[in-house]
Amino acid sequence: MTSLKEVAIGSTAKVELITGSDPTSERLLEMGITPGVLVTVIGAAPLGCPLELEVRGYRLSIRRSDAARVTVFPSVGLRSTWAGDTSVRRPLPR
Amino acid sequence: MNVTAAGVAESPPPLTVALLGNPNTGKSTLFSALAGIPTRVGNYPGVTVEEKVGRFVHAGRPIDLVDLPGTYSLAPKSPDEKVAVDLLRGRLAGMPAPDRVVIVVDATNLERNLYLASQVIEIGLPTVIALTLGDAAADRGIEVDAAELTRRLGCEVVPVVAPRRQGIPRLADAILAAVPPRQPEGLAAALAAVDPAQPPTAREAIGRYAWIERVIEGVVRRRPVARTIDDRIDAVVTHRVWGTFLFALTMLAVFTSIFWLSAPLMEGISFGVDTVAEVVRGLLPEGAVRSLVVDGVIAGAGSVVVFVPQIALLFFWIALLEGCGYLSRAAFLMDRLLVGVGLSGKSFIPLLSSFACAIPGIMAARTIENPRDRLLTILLAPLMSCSARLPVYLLMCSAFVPNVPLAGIPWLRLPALVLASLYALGVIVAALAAFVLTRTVFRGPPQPFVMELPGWRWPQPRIVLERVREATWSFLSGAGTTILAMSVVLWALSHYPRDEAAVEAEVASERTNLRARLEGEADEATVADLAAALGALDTPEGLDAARRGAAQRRSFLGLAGRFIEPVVRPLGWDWRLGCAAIASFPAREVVLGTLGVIYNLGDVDAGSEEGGTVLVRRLRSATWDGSRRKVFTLPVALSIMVFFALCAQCASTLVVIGRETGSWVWPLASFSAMTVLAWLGALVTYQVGTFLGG
Repeated sequence: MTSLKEVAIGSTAKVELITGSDPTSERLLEMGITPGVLVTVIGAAPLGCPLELEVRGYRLSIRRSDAARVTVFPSVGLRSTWAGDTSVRRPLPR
Repeated sequence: MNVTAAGVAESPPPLTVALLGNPNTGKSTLFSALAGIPTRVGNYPGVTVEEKVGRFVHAGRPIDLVDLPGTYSLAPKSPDEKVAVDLLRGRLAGMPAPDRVVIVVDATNLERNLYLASQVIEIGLPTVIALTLGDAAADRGIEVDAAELTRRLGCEVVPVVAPRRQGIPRLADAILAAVPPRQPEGLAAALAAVDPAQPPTAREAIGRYAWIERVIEGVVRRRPVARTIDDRIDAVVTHRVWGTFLFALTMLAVFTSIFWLSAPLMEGISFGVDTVAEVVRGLLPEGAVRSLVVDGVIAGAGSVVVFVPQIALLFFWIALLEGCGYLSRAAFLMDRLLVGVGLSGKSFIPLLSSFACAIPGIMAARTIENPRDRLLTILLAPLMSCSARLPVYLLMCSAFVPNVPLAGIPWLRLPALVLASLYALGVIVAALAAFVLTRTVFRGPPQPFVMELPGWRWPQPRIVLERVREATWSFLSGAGTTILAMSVVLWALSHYPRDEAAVEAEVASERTNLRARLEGEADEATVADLAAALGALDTPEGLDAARRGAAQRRSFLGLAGRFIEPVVRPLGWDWRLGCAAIASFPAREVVLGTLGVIYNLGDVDAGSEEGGTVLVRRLRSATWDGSRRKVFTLPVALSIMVFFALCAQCASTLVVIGRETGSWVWPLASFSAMTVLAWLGALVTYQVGTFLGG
């Protein structure tokens, strides 16, 4: 079991489950992070938190502590879902 | 057509249309394209959520367009969202359910936008969907088949490019023609088909998104594009090095413009107010009425208008940054810094602006959706050292802090260290206050910080101007009137009771006092200061200033200063300083002016070099009543600065806190807590300083 928190920057993972039923979990679901969807970790803020995600074709920012409640299947590879872009997107060297 | 007895054509009753959508969908642009400038802006009953209504006429039918706060779903998480949902369901007191609903749907982000849309369609009100940002979608290779979407959703989908007014007439036609939609095909089945093993909170989202995925299949066509412009901008803007650098540059620009750029505008306003005051002074006969009009009403109005440049400039920046999508990136970059004290990245700009002035800073907290974070930010904002405190710091530092180099470094001097420490003090106390408050008064479950990073787009000049106008107007009409009323009350407190004979007696005793001190004084510099003070009493201006000082010291405010003397004694202050602290309440930026009046200098411009020098000399020669002991020593100067760094001696700030929180509890609590903090801080400073010094 991996959580979204552990997914490497630039990787895409498939969501398995959102744990918890408080407003934060509810908001994550409403924002489209539902079981089965692909989420790409685009990057992180300079201080390591929050994360920048791409889901259902748009960008979203969540904190690492909240990403921990998103259980994902192991990485499915470096792929962006953004606007049908099938090219591999490598993060800029940091 | 109905014709009344008077023969005037009776217009049909206005149609109420609710405008609803996710945040960042171009909803404001659409509002202004449909209805122009709002005809009514206010608050919803009982909450601090802004209500915006615009009336326009289409095909002879008046339409009231109600702009609802942006929301992601009909399960509200904030007061803003709750208002939107309650209004739509007709549950808001005194407001019937709307006749029509327009859902704004962003073509670049159809999947997530349809989540809210599907919930709204289910309510069954006559609904039209406005499909915005089609141009931005095209740039990303996204094409939406609006006709097919209309068929699948069961309600009219009208593509619009609001900034260019494309599709606006068609949208208005569709609004008039809208009928209650049928239940969306397959939605109920999709919701029923969700695995019952899933937690209940997840079921609705899973079902709706499953349905949405089927709806958009074939409706949204994506043509592969090379790395999009958004991708490239984001890679730089959120980059560890470049992103941080760009952020620092942007914040510097924001801060400089509200701190420095506003200064000439504020001076211009002050000049204008002074000119008006002079003209009026010449027109009215001398007396209480003239003083009320000139020193009460006109000066009070001036102290309101003087905040406008800072508010307007800050909201210009906020609208610009919000319009292009940078505001949420700024919050993204700064979030980690503020999580530690229980806030989020969204509090950064309001708190940063508060270093220029707490008033625009507190107003900027409107950009924070989360009510707890917003309130906490509002309460912490006055702890940031604003530009009105700077003159006090500068004067005290230059007059009483020895200008010696530190640790042998020639450019690092003690006054600079003191100044920096005062700024740091505010920040540290704010961090501690946040730490304590989030564990006591504001204790509760963690608030969701799930923030959309919207696509990059050009800010709409119209929307930017509208935002500036709105913020300025809401300050002038809301807080401004209260500040003006308060200024008049405070004027009365500093002018009454008036006893001319007692004033003359006090001026005479002042003269005797100075003479007596001059005779026994050996120190040359003090002799010069005393002689200057005595000489001033023989000039008409000097005499007038002395009378004004005496009158103010004998007023209710002055009496309050004497009354609180036992309280300020442990801070090393005499009653005159107590007076000055109390008299600075109407507006902190006049504290030096108040000191000038209390020390018989009249209206001294302490900001100017000459005025500052005169004030410094007068303060240096001030002694305790009936003794030769100097009032101002280094520990006293430090205790004054610490007091001003932490106190809430600013009526306007408190009025704005009351206005923005919709309650008088918060300004009162804030004033009491900050006064206690300031007193304790000044006490520790003076006592420790005296102990070390002695």
